[in-house]
Amino acid sequence: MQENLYDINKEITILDVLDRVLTKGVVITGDIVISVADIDLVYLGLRVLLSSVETMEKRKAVK
Amino acid sequence: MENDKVLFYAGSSNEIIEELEKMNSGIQGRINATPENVESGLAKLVLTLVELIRKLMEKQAMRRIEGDSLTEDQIENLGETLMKLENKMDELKKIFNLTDKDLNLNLGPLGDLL
Amino acid sequence: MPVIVYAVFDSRQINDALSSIYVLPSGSSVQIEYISANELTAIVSVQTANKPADYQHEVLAYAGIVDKISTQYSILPMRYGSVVASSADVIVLLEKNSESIRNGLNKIMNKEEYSLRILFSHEHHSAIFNEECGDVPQSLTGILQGDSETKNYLLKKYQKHRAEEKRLQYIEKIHSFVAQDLKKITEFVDFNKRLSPALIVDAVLLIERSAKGELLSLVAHIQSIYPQYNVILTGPWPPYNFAQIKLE
Repeated sequence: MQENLYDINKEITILDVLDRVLTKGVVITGDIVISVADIDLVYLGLRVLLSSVETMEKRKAVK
Repeated sequence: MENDKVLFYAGSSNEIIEELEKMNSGIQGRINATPENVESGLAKLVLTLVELIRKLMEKQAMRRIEGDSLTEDQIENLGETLMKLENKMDELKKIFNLTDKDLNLNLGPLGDLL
Repeated sequence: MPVIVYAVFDSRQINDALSSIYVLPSGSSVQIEYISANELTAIVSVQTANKPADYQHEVLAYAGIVDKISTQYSILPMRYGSVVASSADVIVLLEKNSESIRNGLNKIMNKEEYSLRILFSHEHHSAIFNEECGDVPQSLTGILQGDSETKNYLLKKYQKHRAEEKRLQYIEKIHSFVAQDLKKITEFVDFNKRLSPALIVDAVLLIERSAKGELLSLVAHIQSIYPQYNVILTGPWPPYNFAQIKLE
């Protein structure tokens, strides 16, 4: 292990945490939820769209 | 958050950090979204999708060429269309002040898809 | 009063005081409360801040709390932003979804999540891929070579396409090798398909708490087989990637 382990640790930890907390984990849907991260929805929407294009293409490739 | 999450690593730490920053920029962009910059976010969103579709077309064209099922004329047409599309896209990117990198980021699945 | 939901776990795991205070890095503290129904418990805190002043800071604080709880219990972590309108609604949530929560919990019980990444070093990356670019099959040289601008354009595109295909095949090979190795210690492995050029493997895995040592030696083994790559292992994390259920 090298000396700037601390920096790496911090960088990776923050990266990993943000990715997990913002895009993974259990999702609550419905009226009783107030999302404080509503701006996220736009990007999540994009992500869903992209991954569905991906699946579509894969299906096409199989045929 | 405790800073003891890295259990194993090897290699140059600068390279690793650089790479992680690249991966991280998508998340940072999301975090920094505000009502003020959401508009340019929208242009980015739309152009990302357009770019995705353009790249899909390009890949599909490569497959057709590989399949050897196109006539000389068709190939000529195809090349011209793709070239014009790419130029048009470059213009749009300039208008909205976006670089390939901005659009590329969200195109991640492309690498896998074709 | 709206409450922030951090995680859900099995009530039967509780054996100590039902309330705790987490002191955050900022010096402020969060009063954690537990809301139970159907032998399930949600970990919540009453929402204090109206609008987060520093979004990233808030997210990290949230994650820190989930992380601490997960060292104590096997939990299903919530995505950031799960603010439920009232405590009563949390009970409704637990009751309505008890079956899917229970299933989710069974999957992650006594397990933790890790991230395994494999990166190319810059030097190695260019050594493998740059020289391959010019490769065009015999059958196509006739079609794509010519004087016209469009043909030159297509040829360049085609060369790029070939190089990319090669890269993908190469990565696929490493993937299947790593996947096979990981299978020895867990059936729960997910490979992220969104990779940057230097990142060849980005996997999350769920393993028994007791298997951490095995994982470490496995990772060291992978590194020894591929000395030209940089292998990075992080964790243990709360099982965010393996708790992807939707509650209504």
